[in-house]
Amino acid sequence: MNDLPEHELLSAHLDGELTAAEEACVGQFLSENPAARQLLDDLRNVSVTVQALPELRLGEDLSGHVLRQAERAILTGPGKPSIPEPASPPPTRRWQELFRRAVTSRGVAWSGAALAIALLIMLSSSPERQRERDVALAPKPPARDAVATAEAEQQDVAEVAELWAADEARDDRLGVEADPETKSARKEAVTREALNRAAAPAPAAALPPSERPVALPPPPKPELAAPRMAPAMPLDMAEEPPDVPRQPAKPGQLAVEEAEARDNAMAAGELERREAGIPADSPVLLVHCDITPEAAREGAFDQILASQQIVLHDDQAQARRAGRFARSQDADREVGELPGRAKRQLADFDARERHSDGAFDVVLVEATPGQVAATLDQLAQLPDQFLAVSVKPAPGVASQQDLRRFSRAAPPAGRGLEEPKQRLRAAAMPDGQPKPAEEAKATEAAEKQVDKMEQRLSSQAGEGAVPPGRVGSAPMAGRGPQRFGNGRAGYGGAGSLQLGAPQADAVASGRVNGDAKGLAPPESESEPADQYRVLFVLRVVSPDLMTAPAASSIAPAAPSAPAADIDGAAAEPAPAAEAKDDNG
Amino acid sequence: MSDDDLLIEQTLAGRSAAFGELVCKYQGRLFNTVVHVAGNAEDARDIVQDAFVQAFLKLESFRHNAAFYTWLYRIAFNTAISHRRSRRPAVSIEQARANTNAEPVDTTEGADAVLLRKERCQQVRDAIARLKEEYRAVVVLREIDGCCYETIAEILDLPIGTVRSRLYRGRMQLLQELKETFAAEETPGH
Repeated sequence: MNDLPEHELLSAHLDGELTAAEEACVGQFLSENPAARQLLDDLRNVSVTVQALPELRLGEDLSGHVLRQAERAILTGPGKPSIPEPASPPPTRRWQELFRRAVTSRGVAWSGAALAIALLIMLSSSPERQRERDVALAPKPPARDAVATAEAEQQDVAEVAELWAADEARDDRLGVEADPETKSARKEAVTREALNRAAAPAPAAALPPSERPVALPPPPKPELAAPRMAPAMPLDMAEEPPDVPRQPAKPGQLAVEEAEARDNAMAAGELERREAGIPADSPVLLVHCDITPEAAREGAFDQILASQQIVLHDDQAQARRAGRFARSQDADREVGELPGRAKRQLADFDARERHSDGAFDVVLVEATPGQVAATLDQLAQLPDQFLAVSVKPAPGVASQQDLRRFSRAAPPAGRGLEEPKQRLRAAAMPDGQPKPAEEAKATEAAEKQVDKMEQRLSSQAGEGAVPPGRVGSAPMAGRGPQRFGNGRAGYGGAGSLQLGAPQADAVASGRVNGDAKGLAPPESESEPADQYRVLFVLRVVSPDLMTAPAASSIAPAAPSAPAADIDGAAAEPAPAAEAKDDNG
Repeated sequence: MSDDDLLIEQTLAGRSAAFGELVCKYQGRLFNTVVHVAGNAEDARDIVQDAFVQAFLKLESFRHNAAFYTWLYRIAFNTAISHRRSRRPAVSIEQARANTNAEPVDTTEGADAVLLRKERCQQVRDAIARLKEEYRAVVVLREIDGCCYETIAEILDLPIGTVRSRLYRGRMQLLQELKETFAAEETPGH
């Protein structure tokens, strides 16, 4: 049968989708054409036959699968949600980078470790190990239930990583840089040690998992990180050398490396988790922050996160406001049940905590570099609420290194070099508004002087040697927050130019006011698109308890600085005080 | 505000369970439609799940000038089309029917009648599976899901005239297929 326009109308006539005029036309066509009536009947039969097909049912509820897969997509990137999504590198570049990482020996080692971890967790995870963890995802919709589940399932990896990190911290304290093989072997030894501990009767848990402070490690469990690809080393290698006397924690000195070791362990645990399969490309930035009790009660930190569209789940934010911020005193009991090294760490941490209100919280967020920088900038601008901030970038992550500039000590010790810097700049630019070339030259000269001063003060204050090329970027206790002009309104601007190390580099290379990685505002198109995790360790501290040594102790240690000098820093005058003396 | 809009708002506010309710509400209907486009139950399940995941991830971009299920179907059909092009050729929907136990057995029906009815159903499904892809989507949305032309046009991003035309052609192709099938059955020796 030839297709006529009227035939098409017959089909639509069946569905009642014709206009009145078309219906009239079809009526006339049908009345005059028996073949059309036959066709209409055939089409009706076809329609009825298809519609009579029984329904095929799915037979399962997909909602759980959907939410889990969506969460995975959010975490791993390809399905990044549409909300604040800065420009991302082309997919080909991303794959090239992933491939490059995969073929490196480190990548192979981590992949093997990740696989083993995943298997161990899969075989032996149990509900009792699930603990609360604050995870805020910058993008909406957050779907946090799945995140919490996934994190709880892999929580135990952090324990072994913590032991490993403790060794790393000890090296830092002793000023020893272990070679990669030693580190690998040490990790393996720690792993075996933990396995041995797991074989012994486990101590009874002092607290139900849900009541434990987040930062405390769980009781020993058999799930362990797989050893890295390195020669096996004796178990003793993981122990502290007997000839090294352990420095007792002094009030104000805080044994900050121990707290850092715990935080690093948590971060390392996160990295292990990522290596285990979920997010493979997101190193953790650690941020210690001392917050006043008032600011803690008012939820100042949550407000800052919210202002950057880093969304905390309502329940968790409320939980913190409702008092989860307050540390459980029962945590001390757990300390007593921990094995030797971890116990010492926590004991030292407690020594530090005695200088605070004893309350702390850990908030893990995932955000873009722009959001992180803006968050840290806000923390820096509220010194009355956030008394001190210490930023610890993940090793080897270039985009995080610049964030060290947001580290600052408490106000008494934190004003250190800003005044001399400003005076030097003012001296170099007497007119106030020099031409760009003059400005660059003047700021470069001023910065050199300041850098020399910083280097000398760092050395005197026990921060250890700093590589010459990174003098300015080495963290300093007396260094205040800096904002860097990039010529954009609302984010610094040329008028408020204060040069730090990255900018000093930029000045040296002629890129004054140029965009440096990690310095762009959140809405910038030039910022790196990849998100990474940030672990905020918030400690509630009363301003009147915030002595200068205590504040300086949370300043980040330079990666290459011998940590033994940090211990000595407390006995030396605070860097800020030195700076003042230096400038008369 | 409709129930769907309310659930969407709650999802965007962070209550992911609200989206789970949307999944429960639409997964059966969507699966029953998509399985005829995908050609087999396994692919259809994957497509439905992927469609919901994509919907969740892009929920903020959903404009409330269309019904949620229309938007969801659009995602699902796009997913199905790309899925069908990239995956194995569709196998018989008979397998899906067997897997899902979709057809309730009428106990008052004789065994031969049941067998015949099932066979007829499978022949119809096979005929649908043999339709051109462009016709199949329209026919399935109209006959299986009961969508109006406007909705079909919205889901498939087509003009209504094209929907009408494709539906007619699809029905004609089905008519031809089924006539041949049923005629062969009625021929002596079959």
